[in-house]
Order: sequence, then structure tokens, then C-alpha cells
Amino acid sequence: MTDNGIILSVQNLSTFFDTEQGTAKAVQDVSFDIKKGQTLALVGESGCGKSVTALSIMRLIPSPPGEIAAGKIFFKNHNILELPEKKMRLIRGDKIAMIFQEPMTSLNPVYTIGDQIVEAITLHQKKTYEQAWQMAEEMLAKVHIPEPARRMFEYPHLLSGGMRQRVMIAMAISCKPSLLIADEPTTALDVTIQAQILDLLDELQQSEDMSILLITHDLGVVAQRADNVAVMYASRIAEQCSCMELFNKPLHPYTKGLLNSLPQLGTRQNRLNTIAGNVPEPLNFPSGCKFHPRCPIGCNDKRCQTAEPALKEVSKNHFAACWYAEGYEK
Amino acid sequence: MQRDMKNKMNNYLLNVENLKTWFPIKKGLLRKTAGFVRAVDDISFQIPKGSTFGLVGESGSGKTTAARTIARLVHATSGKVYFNGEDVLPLHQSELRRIRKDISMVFQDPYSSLNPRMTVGSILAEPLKIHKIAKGSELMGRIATLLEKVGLSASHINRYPHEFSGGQRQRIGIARALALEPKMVICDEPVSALDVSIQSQILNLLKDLQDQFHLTYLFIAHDLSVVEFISDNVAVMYLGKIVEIAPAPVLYEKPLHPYTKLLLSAIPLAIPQRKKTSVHALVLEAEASAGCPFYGRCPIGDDFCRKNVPPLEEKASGHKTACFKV
Repeated sequence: MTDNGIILSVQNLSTFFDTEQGTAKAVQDVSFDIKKGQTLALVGESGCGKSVTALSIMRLIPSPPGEIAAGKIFFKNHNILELPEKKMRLIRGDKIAMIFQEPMTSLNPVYTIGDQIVEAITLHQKKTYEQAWQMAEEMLAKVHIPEPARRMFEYPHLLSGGMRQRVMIAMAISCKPSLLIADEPTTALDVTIQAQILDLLDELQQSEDMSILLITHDLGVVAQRADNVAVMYASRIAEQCSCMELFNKPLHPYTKGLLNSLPQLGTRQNRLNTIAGNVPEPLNFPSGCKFHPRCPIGCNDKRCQTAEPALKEVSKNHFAACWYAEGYEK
Repeated sequence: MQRDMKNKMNNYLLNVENLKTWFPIKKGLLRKTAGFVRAVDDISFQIPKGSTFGLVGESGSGKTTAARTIARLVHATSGKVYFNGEDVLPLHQSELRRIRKDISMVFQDPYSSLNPRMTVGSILAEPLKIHKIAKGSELMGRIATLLEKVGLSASHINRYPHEFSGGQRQRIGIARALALEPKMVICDEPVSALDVSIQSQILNLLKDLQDQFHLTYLFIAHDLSVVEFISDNVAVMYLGKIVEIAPAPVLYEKPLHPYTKLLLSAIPLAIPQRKKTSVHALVLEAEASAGCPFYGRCPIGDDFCRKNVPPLEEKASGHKTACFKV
């Protein structure tokens, strides 16, 4: 598998949560590959299962109530779901690192920036405290934090949101991971800061040849930063293809609806196109295709209401899960 | 002259003049005032009746403080806020209820802005009861109509907020804001916590309600494409000051201020192309100069900008900006 440059291969992943009201199927039958040095964007609305997918890859699903019910996750040819927790710990934070959405809450407020990065380094690498400190300072410089030597002694509350996210990135890349999972890395930030952080990730990706799994709900961010895209809806992948293809030739009605509902900058629109209805919740998924109640085609179609379409290749490297997608074999 | 002024004011529902909201920084054992955070620093704008005024800026630019000051939720340091020709800032607490009926607010977070222990019915009934507008069966009737206006149904009356999704909750928040038939609604980031597909529903709803009830909106958001869609006029705020103000089509087509240009260039467009945005926004905090507040980040600022504060001047008809270089 390493021959064709695939670094992460998720195959038929299903993650369920036991709740008092029944089993919440948060992720069902999700498969995708990420190649070395590439960015795959996982797009979807809240509750569609994109973060649970990321946490499953990191093996951070709290169990109980959560459970990876089925599937395999190959990281560099090894199924990491079979690794004992002790071995997984060596990979987590070292070879696979993660940046979380909230830079405000994911740093420990009672330790200095320096101590937190040093901890991440000394956990995975044989370095003395002094060496690690030196490295941490270099990392801060790498993510363009001004005056890194001084910042090392500061506490998280002294930094702005953008700066904290930079610290998170510095920590995540301090062990030179081959895969970086970025879960909504810029959602809490202003557009100008967002642009800088994304530029920074781009730059690091190129210099370190790192693969990125970018989780976001912002299609603008996807358009400019991803090589491939998987659109998730209600726990499954609805459409998967290259970024170019997704924006130029979307096939799933959900993807089309999403792209149409964006306010377009520079055009005076009188009304926005919308997708009717609400995002379904994992405990009350509709029958058949989960998108059918909101779908202009599916809402009146017997098959869409009763049978769920599987994700199939409809043209070269373009996958869709819709009975009516062009090229979909019924 | 004075009559002219008054006439002019009557066309505006809201007229803000030189509004300042400064927060004191207290230091030391005796909590002496050591300085001020100039959250809103001398801003002026007008909102014509029935139109939407967009206020944009990054976090910390003072847009929310400006709105809260206008709604009299925060004490203003100085300035005047004429609502319907009447200055609301000197109004006594007891007179405020009259104004509160006419100015309502929709908040950003639909999760924390609704009381989880109250049913939808009681959330909507509260303002009507306080202002003694309706009671009994008339009250219930009004609540049902309100819910239908915002796209929910009367059967939702006895449910609690947690039973609704984010978009539906925001609809409840909007229904609450409309309960007293206000003249003006202040929308503080009403869609930024919502999913993309829900966001467009709420924006359309706000537009429909505006047409139906001739509402005036003060619309605060950081998302420039959302603001473009909904606004007639837009003001861009930076560090407590308005740096540019213009009719929406003009601002987006011909932005003048370097900060507006920077903001517009930073928006990731949904057009697939990997491009580098050359946004240099690293503020050197030490560079808090006596001059233009944007100097530290400005690509074209020079020594003159560093020493002098640019006034907000009209550069074209209806288009004002605060920059020496335009």
C-alpha cells in the first residue's frame, strides 16, 4: 500500500454510541484514502459524523459509550485498530497529530506554552529538557510567532485566538507527524487570521511532506486548500471526488444544495437558495436515503424513501451515493 | 437650519452621533483607573427606516459593544443616539421600557440565549405580558401567529428549547424579538453559529420579515458575504472606529480602505484553486501608534499615517473612508 503513496486508508469504518434512547450510529461505512503530501477535506454540517471519524482514527472515542463497531484503519499498512493502547500511544501525537477546533480550551491554562510543547516532544523523542526547549522555541518560530523565546514563558491566556491556534499547530508538528488531522482549525477565528493559519498549514505541508485530513464545514476553505473532498451527510459519505470535480460537477443533490445556498460575494442576490428542512439527528435518521426528506427528487420517490443507496463510483474517481446521480448503476 | 436638521433626522430611524463607549482599566489596590479600553471610539452613522445596516469587523473591533450601547445595555461614555428623533442615552431607567419595546435583539448563540427551563410558549409570552399587550386566549393566539410567521407551527408551544435544532432555536429567538412588533431589530451575528444549509433559510426569513413588517435592521456579522446579501449600507469597524462606510454594492465593488480590501481578499471563495492569500495581518502590538489605528497592519502606510489620525471623510457620494492614501 505504501507503494501507491497511500498513508492512511480508512475502510468501512462504523462508530456507534450507546445512549439511553438507543444506539446512535454516528459514523456508518465510511471509507477513504489519503495520499502522502495531500489534503483530504471532510465536509459536512454539525452532527454528520466528521469529528467522530477523526476521533476514531486517533482512537480517542470514549468507550463506553462509544465503540468502533466495524472497519479497518490502515496507517502505513498497519491496522491501528488492532494495536494495543500502549503502542497506539506511541503513534498518537507522534506520527498522527491532531489540532482541535477550540484554541481557547485545548491548551492547559496552568502551564506555560513552553512546558506544554516540551511535554509533547519529550514524550515521543529522546531529548533532554534543554534540547526539547530549544526545539520548542524553533517550532514557535516556524509557525511565525513573534519573539518565540519570550512566548515560551507565557501562559495561554496572554495569547490571542490566532496565536493560540499557532501554538497548537507548533505542538502538533513538533514530532514531524506524517498525518495531521485538523478538526475545524479556523472556525473560531477571524477571516484574516484564518487565511494566515491556512497558509501556514500549506507551507508546513510542503516543507514536511505531511498529509492533512482537514475537517471543516466551510466550502470556501475546501475550495482553496483541498486536493480531494468527501462530503458527509448523516453519518455516511454522500459524495467523494477531487476538489475541482466537486465544485465543477457536483452529483449528489445535497452537495448541489450546499453549493447553491452559499451567498456569493460580489453578486447582489435577492434571495438565497436553501435546502429545506433540518439536519437529522443520529437517533432519528429517516428511512431509505437519509437525505430524501430534504431532497427535491427524493421527497416524492418511493425508492429513495425505502432503500439507501450505497456509495458507488459513477465516473473515474468520483463516488456518489444517490439513486439519481448521473452514471449511478442501479 | 434647525428645521432642516430635524427633517433629515426624521427619515432616519436611528441616528448615531459621535458615540463613545470606553471601559476603564482598574489597577492596583485602590482600583484606580489606569486607562481606558476604547471599545467604541467616536462612531457616527444613520439608518434609514426600513433598511438594513451592516456592521462588520474582526473580533474585538467593537461592533457588538456598539450595538449593546445603542440598546442601552452598556453605558455610553459620550455621544448621542437618536431613535425616531429622540435621544435615548439620557433616558431614565423607568422610561427605557418604552424604547425596549421598539428595539429588540436577536443573539448569536441560539443555544444559550433561550432559557432551557421555559417552554417556547412562555418564552414568547413573557415580553407580551411584561408590556401588558395581551393575555388569556388572545395571548395564545398571538404566540401561535408568531410561531407561524417564523416558520414553526403552533403545536410547538409546549416544547422546551432542547427539543429543537439550532436553526429552529434561532427561529424562536427571532419570534421573541418580533413579539412586541418592534421598529428596529438588532441582529448580533444571528447566523454565524448555524450550519450552511440552515444559514440561508434564516437569512431569507429575516428578509421576508423585513418586507412584511417594514423592519429596520442593524445587522452585525463578521462574514462579509452574509452582510453583502442582507445589507443596504455597510460600515467596517476597526479597533473601535468606523474606517469605511458606503452603500453595500459600492463597498464590495470599490472598497477604498486598505483594511476593507484586506478583509475582502481574505474570504475563501468557493472556487477551487489553491492560492496563497498574501494577508499580512501580524500586528506588532508595540506599534500602538498615535496615528492611524490600522498603521501596524497597513501595506501602504507611511510616516504621516503613523503620526496623524485620518478623519472619516466623504470620498465619493455616500462613500466615506478614513484613510490618507485614498
